[in-house]
Amino acid sequence: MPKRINRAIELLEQGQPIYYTGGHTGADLSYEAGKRMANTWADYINIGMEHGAFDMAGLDRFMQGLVDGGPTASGHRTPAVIVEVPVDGGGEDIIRYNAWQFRQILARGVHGILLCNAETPGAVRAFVESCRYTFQNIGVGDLIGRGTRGAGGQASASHIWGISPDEYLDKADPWPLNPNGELMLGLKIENKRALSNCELSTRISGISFAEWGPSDMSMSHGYKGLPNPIPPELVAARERVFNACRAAGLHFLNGATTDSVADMIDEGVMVISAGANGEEVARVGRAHSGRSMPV
Amino acid sequence: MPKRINRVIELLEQGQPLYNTAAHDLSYENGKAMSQTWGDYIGVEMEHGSFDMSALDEFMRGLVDGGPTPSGHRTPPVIMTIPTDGASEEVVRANAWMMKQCLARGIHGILLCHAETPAAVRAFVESCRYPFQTQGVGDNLGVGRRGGGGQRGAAHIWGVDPQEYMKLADPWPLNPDGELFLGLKLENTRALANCEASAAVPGIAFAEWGPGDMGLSFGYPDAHDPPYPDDLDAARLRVKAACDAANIAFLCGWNDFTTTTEARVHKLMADGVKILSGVGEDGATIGRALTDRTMPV
Repeated sequence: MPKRINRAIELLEQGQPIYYTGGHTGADLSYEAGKRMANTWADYINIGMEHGAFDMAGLDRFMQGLVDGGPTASGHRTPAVIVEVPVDGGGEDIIRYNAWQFRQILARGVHGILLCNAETPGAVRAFVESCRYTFQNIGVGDLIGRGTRGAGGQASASHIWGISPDEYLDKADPWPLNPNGELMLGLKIENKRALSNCELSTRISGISFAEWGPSDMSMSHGYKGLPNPIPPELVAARERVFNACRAAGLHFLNGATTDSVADMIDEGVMVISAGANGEEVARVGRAHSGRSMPV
Repeated sequence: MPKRINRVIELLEQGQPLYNTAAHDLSYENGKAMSQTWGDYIGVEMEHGSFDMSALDEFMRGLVDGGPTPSGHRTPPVIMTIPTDGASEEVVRANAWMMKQCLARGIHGILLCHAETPAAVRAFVESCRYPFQTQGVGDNLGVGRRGGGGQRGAAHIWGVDPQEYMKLADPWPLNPDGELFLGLKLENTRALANCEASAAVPGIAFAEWGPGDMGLSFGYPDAHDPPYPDDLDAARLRVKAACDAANIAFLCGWNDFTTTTEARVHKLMADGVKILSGVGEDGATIGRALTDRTMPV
């Protein structure tokens, strides 16, 4: 019997690394795809809408498919779904102007949001506030203001979560800031501007994970893609983001292969991008970390 | 054998004026049908039209499946207007995600409506460029801000691999090898006041004066078509002069339906218009004959 709605959070609370499937673009947001993916091997599904189609009607259909194809082997109503949102974190104003995107996406019943190019602490603060209901007050103070998410989307989202709208209002809050919260909010610290602020951005209350976005970070340093071998400046960028996550108590997201996943876990990586061979990477990694929850 | 992915750039490099048509139905089937369009490029209107990225995906997929074009290109170029306008740098930065979304669908250019300030235009160009591109970066243009992740889908539409796409998806003629065609609608009094500086921002390839909106901005509720009041015609000529000074193509129509299509085409060509709007297939046929067009479309 699951203890939480969001499987990814439940696993992280058990000290288990988590594995996701889904790319940055090109997700099939049909009802049928949702039904098929209800029993995915992954702990959560990433839906890339930074570059993938910003299609709220498609996301509605996909989420309903997940419900109708469920429950999962772990007993959860659906796998967790985390969306990369189109707006980037170039500044606080940019987030405030586009706060409607968080409302739209959360109202579809997703379980988390990953903010791309999270460049400033002000942008991150606005991001967290946009995802919280105004009545929540845990952590409200110097580092984070009151939530700005308004009422109206809870009926549709609560249906996907399988709870009443009133319960949804209580639970749709960022974890671990709110220990009973079921939302996972993450950051891509993936360019030079974001890197220069990463120690401050990762400390904003309400964030649970972050990554260093190697492709965009490489571009920002003048490379078309991640060079092999990785040059010292990019190794240092990864290390700086990782250290910022450690200091802030965030889970670090990184790619892994079947050969590297055990070392990554031992290094402290807790959210694993496993690529095309993801299921096998997850199998190896779960064995390494003594996973007991069926997926 | 085409020399470029983007047919309009190839034609402009040959000194050929362009003729446009529009897609009103963003279905896969209409994409297949429009792969053989008479237009040199297809305009997709999302300033007021539905911002529907999944439909645009379907339309672009239809263009590929219906192709190649008679000119041998994989698809006709698709140039879009997008919902955000260019009222200021802040507005464009806040809505940069729209550029990312549209470009990731594999389109070939964007036309920014209400491009009011040079800073908004700079932000527009930067939003459409990858950060590793360096041509033109300096006082009048910052580093690009388009991130990685959307290249795979777009590369498929262009028929190149994602690495090649990233190299080619850069504004022309700023980057002579670039395949993106970025344009401006200098279509209100605020945009007009800055048009010389806006048109000169590196990365812009064409501009228009948007007579409908420009007329509204001057207080005329219905002055889209000629004859124009003197102040409106002066606006048209000022935008044209700004395009000439910046060495970018001027887009214009001349919907004087008291004259023949042939007369309208002659008028636009005599005025130095490089993108003839609203003359239809008949006008394109007439114009192409006048300029000895050899590329089949």
